[in-house]
Amino acid sequence: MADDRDLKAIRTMVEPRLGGAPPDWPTVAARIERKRTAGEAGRWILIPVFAAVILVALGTTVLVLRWYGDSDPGPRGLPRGVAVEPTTSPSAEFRAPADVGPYPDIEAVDPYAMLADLATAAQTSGPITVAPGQLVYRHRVGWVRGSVPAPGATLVQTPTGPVEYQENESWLDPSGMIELPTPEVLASPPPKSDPAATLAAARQNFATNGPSVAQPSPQWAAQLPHDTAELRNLLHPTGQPGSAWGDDHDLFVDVQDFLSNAEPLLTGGTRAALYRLLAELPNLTAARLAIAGQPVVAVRYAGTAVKAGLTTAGTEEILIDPTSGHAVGFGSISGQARYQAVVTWSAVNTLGDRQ
Amino acid sequence: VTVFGTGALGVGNGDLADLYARHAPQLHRYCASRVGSVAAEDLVAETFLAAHANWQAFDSERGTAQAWLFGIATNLVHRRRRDEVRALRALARTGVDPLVEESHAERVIARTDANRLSRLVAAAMARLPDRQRDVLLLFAVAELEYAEIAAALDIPLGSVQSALFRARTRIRAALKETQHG
Repeated sequence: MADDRDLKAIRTMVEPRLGGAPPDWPTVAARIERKRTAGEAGRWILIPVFAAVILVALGTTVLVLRWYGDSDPGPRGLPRGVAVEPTTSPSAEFRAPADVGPYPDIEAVDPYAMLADLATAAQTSGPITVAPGQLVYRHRVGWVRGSVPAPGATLVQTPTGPVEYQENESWLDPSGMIELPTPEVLASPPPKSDPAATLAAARQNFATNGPSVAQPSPQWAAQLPHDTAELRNLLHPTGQPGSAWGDDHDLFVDVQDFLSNAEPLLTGGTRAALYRLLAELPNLTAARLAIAGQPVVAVRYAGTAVKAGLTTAGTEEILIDPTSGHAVGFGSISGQARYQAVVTWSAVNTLGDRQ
Repeated sequence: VTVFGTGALGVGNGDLADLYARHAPQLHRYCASRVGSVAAEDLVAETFLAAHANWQAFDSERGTAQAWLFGIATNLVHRRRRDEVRALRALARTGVDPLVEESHAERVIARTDANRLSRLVAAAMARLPDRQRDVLLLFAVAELEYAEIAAALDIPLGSVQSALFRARTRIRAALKETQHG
């Protein structure tokens, strides 16, 4: 409409309402902090129940959370009684307020020799068997640590929030690895999305475009190449717009994303080729450690990006079972938002089944 | 709540302070246009509270952080829909906007032509369906692009264009009364 008289009239009408200003950031940050603290207090009411379930199911014990030492939480520790946690925990770096290693429980290893060993182990690792009509069940256990920016802060490089234990399960349609909303999710839609509509859109996309890196299927995954150059081109095609983190970092994250979505569908040959592809990247590190009680090898890529004139650092990781060669977890363990999770997969008959 | 995914690290790596500096003034202007400047202060703060609590839901592939924030703000405005519509009707009926402090309102009344026009616009806007009013004000006041509005409201681009066309047609029809009156 070339005639904007209506828009001008609207602006004239609302103009007298536009006085004032938003509250200053410290005021809002303080409200966020109060609400977050109140929310945590409420959440932890459920923890004793959760802990009891863990005790019965796993036959393990629970401990009061002590992130900064085995005997003395010290002045940097979380207040006592804030959280109860399974005995398992994320890796040591995750607990630290800053990247201050080295850590005695982490054994650094040669990443390239290790990836070669992992590729050998992966060669005989197959996909899970998903019969027609079955779903893929995914169970994730992990930790997150975020930031609540301090009043006046413009960029936070170190997480300031508490370490939170989280557990998550989902059921996926193997055709596209499309997450199916549970009845609970359908009953309480989040404010900005409609789970049923999201599911319909994902299915429509799969029907229109077929299986892909973003929406793999068992049949598609079974035919993936075992050649690193072909896999690189599939996951991170040449000429694809890159991020501020650079091509090597982007490729590592692409492999990480792909494994987090398609791992249970991959043949051993493809999985091994992905590890060989990772070994083509420079500046990798690797370490043997235990996460959630499980011995793993963490293969890591530390990158930096310059955004708005500020340098941000981040370390992405893929956790691999050294015996089976399966990728069993993922993480991002430096910078201002961290997570580390281990994942298990299985084929189940219906939504709600766990085995 | 789970953040095991790319979304967890998406919203400017959680740098809410930076997001706030960039978007709070525009959000305040938009909220104030709908519920007045006093309530807008609360709405802006509530928007960032909700953003912080739900930042794992932010998907940068579906829209910008700005659009996401305006979507949250619009949802919050809906909780005050009655206040918004009541104020529009009052302005249409009396020429006095209850969402404007009195001294300013008096000044507005003095601007007779502008006031008459505002009364007509207010009456038309009070009659608009919620979605059309959302789209119209996100376009006219927040000055978002079609695609940003679609992302903010989580609706197709075509729905934005359709809603905007219908809303503007109604406002323009109302304004014709000023030419005939």
